[in-house]
Amino acid sequence: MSSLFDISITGVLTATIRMAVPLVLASLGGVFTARVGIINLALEGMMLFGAFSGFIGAVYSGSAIIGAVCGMAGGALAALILAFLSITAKANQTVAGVGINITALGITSYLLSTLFGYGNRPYGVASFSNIAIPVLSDIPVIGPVLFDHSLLVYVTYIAVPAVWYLIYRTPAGLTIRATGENPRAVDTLGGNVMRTRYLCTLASGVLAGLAGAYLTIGQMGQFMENVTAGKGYIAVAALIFGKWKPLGAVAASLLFGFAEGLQLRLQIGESPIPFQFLSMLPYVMTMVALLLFVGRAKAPAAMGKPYNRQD
Amino acid sequence: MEQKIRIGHIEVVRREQRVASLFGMFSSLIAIFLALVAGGVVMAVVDINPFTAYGHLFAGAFASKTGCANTLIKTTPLLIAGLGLSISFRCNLINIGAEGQMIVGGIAATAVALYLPVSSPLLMFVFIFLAGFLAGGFWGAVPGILKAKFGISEIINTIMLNYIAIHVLSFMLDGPLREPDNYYPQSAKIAQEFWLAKILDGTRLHAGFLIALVLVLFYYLLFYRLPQGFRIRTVGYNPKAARYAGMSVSSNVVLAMFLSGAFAGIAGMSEILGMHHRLYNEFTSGYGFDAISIALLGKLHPLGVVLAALFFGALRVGANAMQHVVQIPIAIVYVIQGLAVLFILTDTFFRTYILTSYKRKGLKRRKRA
Repeated sequence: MSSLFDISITGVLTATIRMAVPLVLASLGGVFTARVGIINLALEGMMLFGAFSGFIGAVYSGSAIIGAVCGMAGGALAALILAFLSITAKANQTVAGVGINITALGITSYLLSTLFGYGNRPYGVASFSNIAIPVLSDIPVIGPVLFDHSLLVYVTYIAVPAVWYLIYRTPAGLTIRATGENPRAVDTLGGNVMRTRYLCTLASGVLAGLAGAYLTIGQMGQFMENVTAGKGYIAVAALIFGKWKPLGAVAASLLFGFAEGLQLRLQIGESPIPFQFLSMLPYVMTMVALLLFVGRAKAPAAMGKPYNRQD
Repeated sequence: MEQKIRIGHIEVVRREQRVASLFGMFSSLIAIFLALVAGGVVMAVVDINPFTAYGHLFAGAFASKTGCANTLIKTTPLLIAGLGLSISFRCNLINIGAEGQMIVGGIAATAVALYLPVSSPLLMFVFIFLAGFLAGGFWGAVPGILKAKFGISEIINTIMLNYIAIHVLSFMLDGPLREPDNYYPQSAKIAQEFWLAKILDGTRLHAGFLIALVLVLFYYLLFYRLPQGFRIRTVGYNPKAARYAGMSVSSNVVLAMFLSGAFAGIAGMSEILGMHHRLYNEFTSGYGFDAISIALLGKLHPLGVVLAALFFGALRVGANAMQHVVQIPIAIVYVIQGLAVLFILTDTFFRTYILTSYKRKGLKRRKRA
């Protein structure tokens, strides 16, 4: 059992941040859709689109920043499909999400093969390198854990309070929250339900797209088929677990990130537990977390209901 | 045609809705057609003639006896799992977990086939069948219970259980079920007398296909002739009304999820006993995920699910042929599949759109007159 304790706390926590960042970004995106009353299972597909377009952007421009912008655009494109289907076409949002995810998997794998064939897939393309923040990164434990990461991680640090402020402290945030609770009231008071829903869905696509780009050009500079491997769904779980609130979603994402980071570290250190059980950890934890904490949570009242002005 | 069903103290008159379901199928066909067109555009973008490509696809899937048999081989698990998902979808439960349920069904069936000391093939078949049925059912019932008792989203839990099942399979093949001294992580080969019989000479088509057809009949009887199916549907459509009519919402939710998982478990069993004859990683090759689209495109109607499964089976076989001849990545199948699901979601929108514009024109005409 001694190997279990050999793992450094710093190492696990650093891995936690690295694994949590895509979940944080995607679940923040999920907050936007949830708050306007849209079920967003498409986070997975948006991330995958973002991961691919971010990668392609980096390959052809040679710049990680342009790659990240392309990633956000890719996520937004997928979000536009969800927005059209759930807001305009008033279709079943869950099914729309599933459809988008299948399509995303197909299109990204298809394009990867047609663009690069099987033998010469690019790897080590332009990606974000770690920037140690002076002074702050010298603090013991906290420094290396929090302040020695790539630019995208710092963007995430800023995005969390920004989203919280937008949703809870601005008039636009009030409209957003009201749209999810009572769209009829928003409409009566002269607000634009359709526009709010479209914009928030696009915002979720941008954030999820960035989360996806983090997976491909945030560290390794490589795209593999189905690189998201269910992270978008875990972000949905984090969102529900976090009771559809920005800070709650972030806390839940950190918890899942911790499970991921821990299992990665445990696999490196020779643990007596078969590695498959360690790999299961994040998924099992998601289920247990939902079971223990979600019981009394209440979703926004208009969740999953398309709005029809003529009703 | 009218049919009277008694549930508790309430009598319900059920009328056939032929027209409505026909229209539903029709919109599926349009969705598939549009998806194929869009897939053709995607091909054309990379300079592949879509007509040639689809020609090879069709020929690969149907032009020869082997092709037809292969199509039916692929149709079998898709059909069984698709019917299973349709059961839960009819109860308004979005079960994404057919893949995981197939996997545990396959694991349990293999374990029984390899290690249960039974020599009679018939008796053994009963045990293997039950193992797949119960294991898959259990994997489906867990999220069902969590949904019924605690209101936790079955979507998330079924997805999580997919990943857990994949790791359980990998663990089984590393340890308990691994064939000793085998370089690859796979189980020992199952004794030939326990395999599902071949049913067409010169091909690999096996009795799993017949099981699938029996399950179609079961599904039809359940939802179109038996009160239990009506209960599941009512709970899905309106839980409050169901409770008012004296039905137990939670037990119907759990039952629907159990049956749904059990079907997928049978699909896993049939793949192992009919096709692979041993357990290895990724033996389900994504059938459980395809089954979602199949249930949706088939509009949860038995005949619709059969046709959708056949289409997807043909797509898989044909795509292989297409890949060999015109070098088109097999992932195109997922593009077509995903787009078909997205297109079918727009059918209500376009139907109302067309109807309202038609009505408007009618009004104008009347005003003029």
